[in-house]
Amino acid sequence: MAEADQRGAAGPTQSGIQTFEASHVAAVAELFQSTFRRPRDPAPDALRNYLEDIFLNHRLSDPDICSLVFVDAGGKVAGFIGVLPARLTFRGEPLRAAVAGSLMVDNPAENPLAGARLLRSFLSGPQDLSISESANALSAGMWERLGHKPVAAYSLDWVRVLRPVGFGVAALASGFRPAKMLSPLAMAVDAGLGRIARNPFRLESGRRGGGLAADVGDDELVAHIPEFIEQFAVRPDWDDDRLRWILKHADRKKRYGRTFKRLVYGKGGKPLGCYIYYGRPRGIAWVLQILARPDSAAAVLDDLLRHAHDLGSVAVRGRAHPSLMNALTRENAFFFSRSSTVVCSRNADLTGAINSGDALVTGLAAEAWIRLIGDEFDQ
Amino acid sequence: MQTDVGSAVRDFIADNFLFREDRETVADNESLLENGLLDSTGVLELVAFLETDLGIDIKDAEIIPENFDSIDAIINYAKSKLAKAA
Repeated sequence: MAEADQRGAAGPTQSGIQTFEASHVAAVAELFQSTFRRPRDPAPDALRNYLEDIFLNHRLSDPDICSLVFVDAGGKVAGFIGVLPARLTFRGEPLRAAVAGSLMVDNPAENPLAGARLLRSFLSGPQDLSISESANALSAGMWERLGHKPVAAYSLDWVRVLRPVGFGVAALASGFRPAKMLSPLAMAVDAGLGRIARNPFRLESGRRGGGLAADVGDDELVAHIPEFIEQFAVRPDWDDDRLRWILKHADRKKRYGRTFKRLVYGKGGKPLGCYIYYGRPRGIAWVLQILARPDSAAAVLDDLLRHAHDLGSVAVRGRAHPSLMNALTRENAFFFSRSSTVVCSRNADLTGAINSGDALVTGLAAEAWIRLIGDEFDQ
Repeated sequence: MQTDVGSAVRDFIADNFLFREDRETVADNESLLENGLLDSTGVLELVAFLETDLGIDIKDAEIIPENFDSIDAIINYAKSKLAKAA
């Protein structure tokens, strides 16, 4: 509550902005369920437990950087913004960062200013850098009104189609589940198409970079990821425990299939990069992160696409990053906009570095790894 | 100064919000929130205007319907803030 009072908000029995705490979990879970999931169903226990786990038992808890709720005049929790604290560095100097998502308001007609208050309260916190990588059009519009435009370089999603007919069926099935019955037929047609040399979706023969790759565990990733991100002026400052905690959390996402974590090596055995994705046969693989040394993005992406193809995935999708654009374009990926990345800082040099693409502020560095981004909670 | 505040607020509302709802005028005492002229996104625009153009320091807890629901309310709020700061 101290934080809420510092923000000039109300006490526990008054309306206004308050720090999210355990007593709010059930109400926020219902709000999340009605806003982003199935309004007719009550929030499952798994969602309640997860909200508590991710926002109240965070590995890097920071008493000054907290999620916030909006409590209306009747004492009801009517709004929420989820906030994850993060540590980054900018040209070697430590940064306090806060990653915001899940901005939601119950019945905006009754609480028309709640979203504005939640966002302003968040942005007026003590952090050096505020980030959101999942801002929808409404949320991005609010950031923009405050002077923070979406950063296009980090706001695109990409898709590389591997099996075009299967991709069409999978896309159709995402809105109409019975379409899944067409998957075996689609796979058979795609197998035939795969033998046609001019098929634009066929992967080129021969590996880019000519190296090897292997499935690895979290320990290997934790050991090598710092090498892959040191090129960025703005980057996460993970200690081993925190990165391991994030990777463990990422494993809990199940909607898109099993988690694959792989290191890609050059001809001399030197690690070139790594990737983490979720995938299953006949499904669209979902990439959480691709990291590569400078000039090695093509080799890492190449291995990812081959691995997903061999798994039986019909396409691979992920979040674009400036360091990947050349490789993605060469691989015939197409790009689309689904949500925006927005940042806010009083340090113009810092935002300049981010806008120029010299930053890792999405994916593992932000919030794409949490289950609230795209996962189901019904199991 | 008081006249300036009133004119500035009216002009800002007219220039930025009325055209979106295909309206030409709004009464000073008409509810901007109930008529859909102002929402969370719009109020952030308005707050930025009051802070930047009129030099008013707005606390998060002051972003409430009582201060922003009508042109009259906005002008009264802005004047009271300016008077306290003077």
